[in-house]
This record gives sequence, C-alpha cells and structure tokens, in this order.
Amino acid sequence: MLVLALAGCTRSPEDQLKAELQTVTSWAATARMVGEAWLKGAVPRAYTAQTLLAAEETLQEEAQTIQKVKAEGAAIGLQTSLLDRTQSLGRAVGQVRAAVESKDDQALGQLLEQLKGEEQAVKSLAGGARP
Amino acid sequence: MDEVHLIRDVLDNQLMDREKCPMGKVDGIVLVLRKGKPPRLAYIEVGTSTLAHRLSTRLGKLAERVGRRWGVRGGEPFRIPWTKVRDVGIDVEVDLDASETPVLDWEKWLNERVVGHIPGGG
Amino acid sequence: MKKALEITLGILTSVGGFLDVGAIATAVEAGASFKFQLIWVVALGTICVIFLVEMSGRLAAVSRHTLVDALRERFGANFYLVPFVAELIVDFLVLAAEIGGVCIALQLVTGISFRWWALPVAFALWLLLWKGTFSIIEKGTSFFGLVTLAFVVAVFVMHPPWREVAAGFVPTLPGHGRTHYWFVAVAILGALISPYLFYFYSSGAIEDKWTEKDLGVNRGVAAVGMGFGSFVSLGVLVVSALVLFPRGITIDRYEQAALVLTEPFGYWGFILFAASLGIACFGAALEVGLDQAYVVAQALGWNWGENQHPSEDARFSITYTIFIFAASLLMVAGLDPLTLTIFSMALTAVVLPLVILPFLVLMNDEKYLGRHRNGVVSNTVVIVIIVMTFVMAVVAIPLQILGG
Repeated sequence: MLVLALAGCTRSPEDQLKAELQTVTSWAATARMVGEAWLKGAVPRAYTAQTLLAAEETLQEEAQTIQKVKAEGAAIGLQTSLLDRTQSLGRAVGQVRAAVESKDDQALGQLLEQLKGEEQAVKSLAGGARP
Repeated sequence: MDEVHLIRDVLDNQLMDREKCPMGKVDGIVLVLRKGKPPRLAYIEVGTSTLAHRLSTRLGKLAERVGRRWGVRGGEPFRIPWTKVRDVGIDVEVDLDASETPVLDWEKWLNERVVGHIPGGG
Repeated sequence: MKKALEITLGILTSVGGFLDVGAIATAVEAGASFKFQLIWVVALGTICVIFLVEMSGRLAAVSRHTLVDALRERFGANFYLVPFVAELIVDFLVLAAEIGGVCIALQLVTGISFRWWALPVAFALWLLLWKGTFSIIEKGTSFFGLVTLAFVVAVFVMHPPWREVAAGFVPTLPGHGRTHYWFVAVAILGALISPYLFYFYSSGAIEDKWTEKDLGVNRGVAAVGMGFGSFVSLGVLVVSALVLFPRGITIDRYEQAALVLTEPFGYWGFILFAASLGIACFGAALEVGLDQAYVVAQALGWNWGENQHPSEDARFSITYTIFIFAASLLMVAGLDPLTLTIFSMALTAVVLPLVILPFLVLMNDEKYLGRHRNGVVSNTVVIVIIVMTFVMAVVAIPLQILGG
C-alpha cells in the first residue's frame, strides 16, 4: 500500500499496472462508500468533502503514474484502458463531490449509480481475479 | 561473609543516599595503586564523562569538553569515597545526603530555572 | 476481595492500554487486504505479549528492579546503550504516531486538519502528565478505553461467517500479494509486542510497590488483560474484513478506515470509530510519553515517578515534556500519520531481538529471580516468536520497499 508508492524500480510494467489498478479500485470504492454513507446521514459533511477530495486527487495522481509506466506488448492495451478508466473515475468522483457540496441528494444518488458502473468496469480489467 | 563482585554487583548499580534518594548510577570504580602495597579500592564515580570514557576515549574527551562548557558543575565526575559505602544489595547505599552533593545540580538547576516558571510546577 | 478488585483493575488497564494506534491501523489493514487470513498472527503476537508482560511484572515484583535498572546493571552501560538507543528511537516514532492518531480522530469529527491539532493535543497530554498521578492516568485510560469494545459489539451485530473466522487461526498463504502479506504480518507483531509495554509495566509494578505476593495478580493481569485486549484487536480485524474487503478498499489513509463502523452503526459508528481511535491513542500516548521518561531516568539513575510532583523529579518531568512536544512536531510538519504508524510498527519488529533477548537472559538469572526464574516453556515460546518476527521483518521490509 503506502510503501508501494515507492515501488516501481524492480517490477515488471504489468505488475506495476496491476498494483495501480488495485489502488484505483480501492479509491473508487472508497468514494462510493463515502457518498452512500453521506446519503444515509452516517458521516459528517466536512469529512465527506475531504475524503472525496482525497479520492479525486489520488485518482488524478494515479492517472499520471499509469501514464509514466513503460509498458510493452500486451501491457500497452491494459495501460491505455486503465488510464482511460482512471481519468473518467476521477471526473466522476469530482461530480460526486460537487453534488455533496451543493447538497443535491437527488443528483448524488444518480452519480453514485454511475460511479458504481465505472468501478465495476475497472474491476473487470483485473481479468476477473481480485487484484 | 558475603562476597561482592565489583563489576557484577556494584558497577552500573543504582546509587542511593542515606534517605534512599536516588543519586545516579555507579558509572565508574577507581582503584588507587600504592608502591609495595596492594591496590586500594578508593572511589565510586558518578558522571556522564566517566560513562562516556568507558565507551571510547574520544567520546569521553568530548563529554568532558561539553561538560566544561555547559555543565552545571564543570563536567567533573563526582567521586564518592569507598568508605562511605554502607550496603551493596539491590542498590548501592552510601552514607551521604544527596542534596549536599553535586549529583543533584542539574535537578536543582532545572527546578529553579524551568520547572519553577511553569504554572503548577513550583 | 482486594485481590479480585486488583485483577479487575489490572485487566481494565490492559484493555485500555493494549489497543493503540498500531494495533488499530494494522488490524484494519490486515482485514481489508487479506480478510481473515492474518488472524493467526494476532493470536501469535498475543501469546508472546502475555508471556513478556508477565515476565516484566515478575522481574519487578521479585527483584525490585525495573527492567531498565536490571538491564543496565546486568549487562553494563556499554552493552545496554544499544537497546537503550533503539528503544528511544522506536518510542519516539510510536509517540508521534499515537499523537497523530488523536489528531486524525479530531480531524474526522471537526474537519480541521490533523496538523493543527498536534500542538493542542501535545499540550493536553503534557498537562495530564504534569498535573495527574499514575493512578488517574491508569484508570482514566482504562475507563475511557472501554469504548473500543464497540468493535467487538460490531462483530456480533454483523454475524460474520464464524467458520471462516475460525479458519483464520490456521496460517495460510494468500494467492496474491505475498510480500504485502508478510509485511502486514510483521507490522501486526510489531504493534502487539511493543517494548514500551514491558518497560511501562515493570515501572508501574515498582511504583505500586509489588512484592512476591503479587505474582498471582501479575499472572492474571497479563493473561486475561492482554488476551482481552487482543480480543478487541481481532474485533477490528474482523469488522474491517467484513466491511472493506468485499468492496476492495485497501487502506492508504485513516479516512478510509473511518468507514468500518458506519455499516453496522450508521452515524454513531462514525463517531465511535473516531472516539475509539482518539481515546486509545491518547491513552497510549500518555503511556509512551511516560515510558520514555522512565527509560531515560532509570538508565541514568535519576529520581523518577509519576506520583511525584514535577518539582521533586524535575529531570524526569522535563524529559517527557521535551519528548512529547518534539514528537508532536512530526505531525505539525505534516508527516502522514498512517505511513508513520505502519513504519514504526515494522521498525519495532526489527529491533525486538535487541530489546527482548537481553530481557530473557535476565529472566533466567538466579540472582534476580531466585526460584521464580523462567521455565523452559516461556523461554522457548518467546525466543521462537521473536526470532521468527525478526526473520520475517528483515525479509519482508526490504521487499515491500522495493516492491518486489
């Protein structure tokens, strides 16, 4: 996890992409869980906004990290689709955060559904196996 | 007669005065050589520089210099004559009053200069 | 009657004192990443800590020496310097991590960044040590520490698959992320077998003037108290495995961990998590802060004691004052509290042999313990677990850092 951020020097591009994939999935799931908890009134506002912001920022950073991976051969396909998904997840989380900040619960419900779809799409990149 | 092993039972033991007030650790033991006679057990030493000297000469000299510059008692180790030792058990007890010796200099200095100025400390 | 009361109090103390930032962080991480697969490590660490806590109490009760006094006396100042420095460094990092835990708890509730909380928290800790007595700190920590039982309640509310939980007591390897698995295992052991516990416990036994008559109480407190404490740790792990693992959430920041109790308890779950983290870390920070002053004062032979007025042990009081404020500066500087926590727990695992093996030699010395010295069983159990932890640590930590 944390120390994985320092990683990347000795691993194959494929392993590295898989590790990034796990981080992306984890933060996407976090954002959705926070959003759902907020809808149920289970978490305070400041916490919700901060955590969603952290998720958004992490996803943006992840996108940059993924871009820098020097993938070859089959891994290039994974890299492209993962990058795509990560960027769109980042945007989706940003929208969720905006909905929380404008207290638009109706839009939030829809956005969370959308986020769930995106999350599953990323998970499917792992090829069925848990990352 | 009980035997006392200097290194095992005395060195690095807790030092207590006659009121059971802690006076530091036994940092060193000093023998005095006498011509034609067996060496005499002379002092117990208490002090950071003694401790540093045990580890390395260079560190010892550094500790001495730091002590001379900033120490409250000029960095000299405090020597307790062996004749003042009363008991060697769990602690080494000596027939002295800690507050009349320099071992509590730092304690007193901190008390006057720092602790006394903090509300609830004095 | 008095004995029963003492045992109860002792157990309360360990429940409050056992769970700290390391135990919570590593248990959440273990559950989130490996479901129930690391339960056996918690069990192993608990067995080891029970033996070691019992030993440090026995040493104090029989020999009237604190662990530090005995170590310096038995091995000499030069040898003792190594575990002394190791312990101070580890203690310092753990103290910063505990302060970080309290600050994060406050951040969760108020939304104000943890960095702003570091100095106020350090001040509150210091004030309590400066004004309070040992028994206030001990009993206060224990009483408020009971809030952490929320994790155990949550487990029962959530009806986990008990069969699977039980299977976690048998070691198995995961299909993925083996390096990370061993790294988390090392961090769990480092968090549970925290050396500060033994120094603190033996100092407490001396402050409470234990004698050989207290050996029974000592055994009871060590076994039931530490066992019960790790019960809470297991609670954290299981809840995390039930809530975070299925969602694929692994822990990069404390904010993610804060969600574990919202599923069973809703808004109160969020508050309970923050309260548990805050109180457990605050109690542990008091203990670690005190512990550093104990270690320094005992190693140098100063007068010490939390029951004395600061003017009676100025050097001791100034020592914890400096350590607490210095440690809080790491948080002011914005060091990530979770990274610091996991790192210091892993580091603890590495230095354990330095601290524990001389301790074991002492426990076998007739001069200190007479007929109460260690038996074969306690020696073997502790040596096996400590050596195993060390080997795991030196293998897993570099691999984790290199990402191998």
